[in-house]
Amino acid sequence: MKKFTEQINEQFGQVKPESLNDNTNVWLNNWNGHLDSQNLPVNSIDNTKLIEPTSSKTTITSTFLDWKGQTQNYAQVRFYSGDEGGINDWLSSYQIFLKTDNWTTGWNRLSETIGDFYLITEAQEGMISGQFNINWWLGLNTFKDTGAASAAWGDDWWIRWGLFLNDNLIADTGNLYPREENTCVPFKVPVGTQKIRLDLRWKTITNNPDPTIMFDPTIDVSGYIQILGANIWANNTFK
Amino acid sequence: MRTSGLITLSSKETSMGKITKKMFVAGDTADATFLNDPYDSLAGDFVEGDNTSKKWANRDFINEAGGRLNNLYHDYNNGAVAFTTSSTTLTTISNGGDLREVNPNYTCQNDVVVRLCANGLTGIPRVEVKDFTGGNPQYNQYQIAFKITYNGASTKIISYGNYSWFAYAAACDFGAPAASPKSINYRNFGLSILEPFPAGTIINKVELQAKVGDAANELTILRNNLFVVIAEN
Repeated sequence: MKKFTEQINEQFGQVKPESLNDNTNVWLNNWNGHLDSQNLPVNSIDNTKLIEPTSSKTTITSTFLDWKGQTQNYAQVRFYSGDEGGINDWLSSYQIFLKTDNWTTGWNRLSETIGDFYLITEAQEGMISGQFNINWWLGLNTFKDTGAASAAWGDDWWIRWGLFLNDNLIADTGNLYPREENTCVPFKVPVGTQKIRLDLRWKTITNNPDPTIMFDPTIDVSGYIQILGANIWANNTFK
Repeated sequence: MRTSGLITLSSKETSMGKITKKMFVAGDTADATFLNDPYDSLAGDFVEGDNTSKKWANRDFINEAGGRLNNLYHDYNNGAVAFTTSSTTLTTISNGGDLREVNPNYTCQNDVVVRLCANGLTGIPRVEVKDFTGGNPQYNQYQIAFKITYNGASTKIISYGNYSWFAYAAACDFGAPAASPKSINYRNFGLSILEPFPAGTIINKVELQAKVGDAANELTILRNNLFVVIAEN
């Protein structure tokens, strides 16, 4: 353990000047730049001594959570179609009509469909980990050719979801074939002290047939992507 | 760099750090004010970055016992007893009466974030109602969700994930396909989300629940995991 001089000086007491200097030099030297682990035992900082975290939650179209603690931060953007647990939770709020909407065969931003669905937060140097969840539905269609019998169409369609951090792909589902699914993908990457933006993007293929070749031309094959819910959350741990 | 406000007299004073003092030389008056000022100043001052050595601290100085920074709860079903449901309202998954839930009964010290994660594996469902008209999309769906109970009696469904029995679209409006569709069996499901709660909230219970869109259909769940993290700071 370090040893500090603890000499109390009294008015009119008799001391040598050198003693005065010696008494204070030892602890002043420690105080002025050399306090270390001997001055603060391990396990001495518990939850009651840390500054309390701050938390804010705002909703525009999506709901944003920003929680900042002393050893970690959390941030989230989330969107769900209906009241959770309610009757509307079987329905989608957003649809991307692959036959008529504008989209590319490369990556398409989900924020072009759900306007504010991206996560911007101030990261601190360390690691950022989290998950994205996307509840999507890209289903097969059926069509009738020359008679009443119908057949499946689109069993080779696929969709792929990717999470981008500052425009770099950091997590990817690979090709997912027609179905409805809540896809969860984790990620973990190192970050510096910087503003980061996480956004979810998709790519797909489709080959809707010309409706005029079908038996009933009034019925169109309308392959589309439905979005029932989504969230991106991130946990930033730092020194 | 801060100074203690000590009056500087003759001679020299320390040039680095926060606390200054008079360096006495022979002939100086040993006034009690100057003698005691460094101690008094130290008692009322604060440790700052200037005062500490380089690279001395590590995570060991943070005590995670008691009021922890993170509190983890886990539940899993190893698949010995499957769960089936035909309920159209959310029902807690159970295996032979063993509910898939965690019971933190934890009083939040700060404004916390509750982090919920779950995954699992479905079995072979029984699907009687196969609607492809597009008018009733719930017939072709089942759902997994979190239910959280807090402050004794308050409950909330937090997040849900929907899955289709078949590969077909809900809005597939050409009538039933000629060949009877096959259900998608042995599917992995997953959910994860964050939910904040204010300080003082008691997090009683988190349950993993499921429901189907039509009571004629039956969902089977073989395995599942449930993780809950309550982040304090």
